[in-house]
Amino acid sequence: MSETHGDADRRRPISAGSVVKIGVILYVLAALLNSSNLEQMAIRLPLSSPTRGPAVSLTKALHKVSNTLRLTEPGVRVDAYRGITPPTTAGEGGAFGPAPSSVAPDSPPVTEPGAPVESVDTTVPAEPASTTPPETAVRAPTAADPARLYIGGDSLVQGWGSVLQRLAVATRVVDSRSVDYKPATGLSRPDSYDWPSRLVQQMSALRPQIVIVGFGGNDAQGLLIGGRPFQPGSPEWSAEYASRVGATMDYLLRDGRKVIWVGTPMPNDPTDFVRQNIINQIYRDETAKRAGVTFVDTWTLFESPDHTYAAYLIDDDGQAKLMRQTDGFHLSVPGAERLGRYVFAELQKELEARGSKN
Amino acid sequence: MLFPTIQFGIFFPIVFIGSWLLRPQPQRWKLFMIAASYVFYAFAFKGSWLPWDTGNRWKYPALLLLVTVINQVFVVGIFKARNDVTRKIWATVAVTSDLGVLAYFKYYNFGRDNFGPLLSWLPKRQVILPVAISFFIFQALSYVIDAYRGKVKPTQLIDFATYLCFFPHLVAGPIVRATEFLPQLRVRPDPRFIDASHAFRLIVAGMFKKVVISAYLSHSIADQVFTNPKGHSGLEALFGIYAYALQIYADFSGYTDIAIGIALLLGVRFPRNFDSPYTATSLQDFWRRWHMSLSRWLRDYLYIPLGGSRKGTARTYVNLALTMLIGGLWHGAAWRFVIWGGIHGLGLAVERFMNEARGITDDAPIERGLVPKRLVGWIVTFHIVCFAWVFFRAEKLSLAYDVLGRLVSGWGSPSPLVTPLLGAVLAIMIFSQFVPEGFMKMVQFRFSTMPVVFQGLTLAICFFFIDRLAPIGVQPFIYFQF
Repeated sequence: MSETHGDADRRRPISAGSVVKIGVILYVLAALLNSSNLEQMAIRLPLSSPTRGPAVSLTKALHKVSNTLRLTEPGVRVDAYRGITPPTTAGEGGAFGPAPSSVAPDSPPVTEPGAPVESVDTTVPAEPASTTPPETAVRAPTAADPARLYIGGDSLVQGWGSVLQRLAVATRVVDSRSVDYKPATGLSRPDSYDWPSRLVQQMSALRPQIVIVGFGGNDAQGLLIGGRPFQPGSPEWSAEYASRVGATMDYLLRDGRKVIWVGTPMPNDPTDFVRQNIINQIYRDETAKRAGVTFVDTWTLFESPDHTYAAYLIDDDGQAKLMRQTDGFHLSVPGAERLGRYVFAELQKELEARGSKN
Repeated sequence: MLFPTIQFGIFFPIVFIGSWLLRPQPQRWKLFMIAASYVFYAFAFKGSWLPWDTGNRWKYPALLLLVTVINQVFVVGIFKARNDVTRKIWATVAVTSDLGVLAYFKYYNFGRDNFGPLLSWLPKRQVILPVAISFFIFQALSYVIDAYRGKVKPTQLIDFATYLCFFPHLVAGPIVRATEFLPQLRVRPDPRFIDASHAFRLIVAGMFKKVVISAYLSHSIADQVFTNPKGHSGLEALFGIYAYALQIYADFSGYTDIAIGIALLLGVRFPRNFDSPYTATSLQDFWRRWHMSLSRWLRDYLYIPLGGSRKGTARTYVNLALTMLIGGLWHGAAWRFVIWGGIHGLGLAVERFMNEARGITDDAPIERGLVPKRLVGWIVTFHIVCFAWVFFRAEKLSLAYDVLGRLVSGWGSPSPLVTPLLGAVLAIMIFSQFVPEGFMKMVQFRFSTMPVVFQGLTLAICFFFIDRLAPIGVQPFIYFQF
């Protein structure tokens, strides 16, 4: 539709007071109709944010009023029509179901429709019963029977994941249809985005043989442990984050899958530098405990010769290229190309180990 | 700060009420609006809120303040100059310094990376491009050049500061000229007569286009096709290109619709920025409808000073191509933007050549032609524009070639991304461009005659659907990066 401006004909101007009245009605009614989304937004605020507590309390109260007035129903109906299920009760870490031998067939408990839940409790999604037997035998991938590859993670994955996918598909022995990235997510806040549930659903739907994931960019934030927030750097935080990483690796390894875990590059910000260093060390440690997981260390890939942050690096073609975005963390196009090629080299090793001739 | 966020939802009512309470006192209103605009701008950056903190939060607002003060000094210098030579020197210094600021922030990395032998002496430095710089520099330039041309007299510093930082247009336009904005500061709008129905229509339409349509088209196909073209079929590549064409329209026109509506609620009128661009039947027609405030800026401050069409046929073609090339570079420091501008420049030159060869001097020959001729013109124009968007969107040239390559070699493979819903959304978005303006005016008039309670109720229902149909999180506006 065309936008108009300056067509003052045939419309009735109103006073500033009337605009305020309309605004009040709009805000109150829209807040009540969208109370569940508002509560979710409040819950997703960083645990360290001073506004989180009041925002959660306020939106919870609003949601109660909305429920009482039955104003949550339109939202639930629209969501149901779009195939969106209400948020599940994700545990503090977001938990994976038990190993396949003891998979509980029951679906995870869900909350009352439309009611968002701040994560406080334990268990969640069990893997849906698989319709195909687990693939334990490793076959040589071919063009007729390519290896199914899953690539997923946070916003960093968008760039290098696309490069990796392009290179992988070009081998003709890998089947990868998309890069499953979600900005501003990770393993710290399953109440904000529940990666464990997402991975369970994706592993079940896609049945990949090789999984390449990258997390951590947004994980240097407070974790809820026993209902209490702990900040990165504390022993409690490290132990909890390591257990989440370990649980994710264990789950991804099921059914004989190969896991390639991509670390985060060195950030420019000094505080982030320390925190990301802790996160990468946890990845190294957890990888070392498990056969079948390969850790791709991007920290050193993007450091300067004197082991500090470098925006510019000499690329494979001998040219100095700007590798990072202006936030001092995310990768530029050449940076994403560099990391994509690097991860692809790991993938190639795995393909060769499986007997691929490519 | 982004418009479709909770922060802005809290920020705007405070500014709206404060603005109308302070309107009877113009100086206080301007100070209030400057303070509000700088807070709005500071939200775009990370860092501490303490003004003396050295982080980015206040660094770039400080740059905006510096540009404001320096340009005011230049304009006063131009006005007070005793002869033409001095005036010209002041104007040259002003334009050079403004372009210098833009060049440093926007083209430093590009220049160093692409012109190594010439610029290798420059230190390797990651220069951060501040949000909005292209827009406020162009607006400052319009003030300086219009002052040099005698179209505008120096105004008070507080007026110029209000103009340059006024938050509705600050980060992504429309590019409002000094001659359009400053006269509005001299009249006091009547708080009893706010054109609210028009403003609400623009805000709701803008929100829907940005939050629902743009996000859907980007997630459902455009991003996937442009990041991994070889993994998609020819049909998916074709629909991916169409989707991006409509995504960037929904995204950018959505933003400026909201900006115009917000300004209108504060009693300030902005020029329109889009006029159903995908109904264009020629490239010339397209540029009269797309990002109109930039097109007019380029015409008046670049094309005409280059000589326009006054210096012979060959020179006219050169001027057209040069203007579009520079327009392309304004969008970003990359060869793909140069190619995008080059395609439009070449297209405009060819169009002009064909018209002249046929003896047509009319500015808009096709628009008044027969229906079949207009239909052919529309199809050809739309596809040239889409072709150019491929270079605009692809993150590097090789990906653009891959996308185009799939249009040739990618047929026959399955196309799971091309769904009936996608087809319907694309068709509705194109069809909506042809909806007669009279129909929209009628809807708007009916809305404006409703009691206040029903107006609030209608808007709440609209926002309910926008929120429910939107994906989680707010995507940044595409034009923020420019």
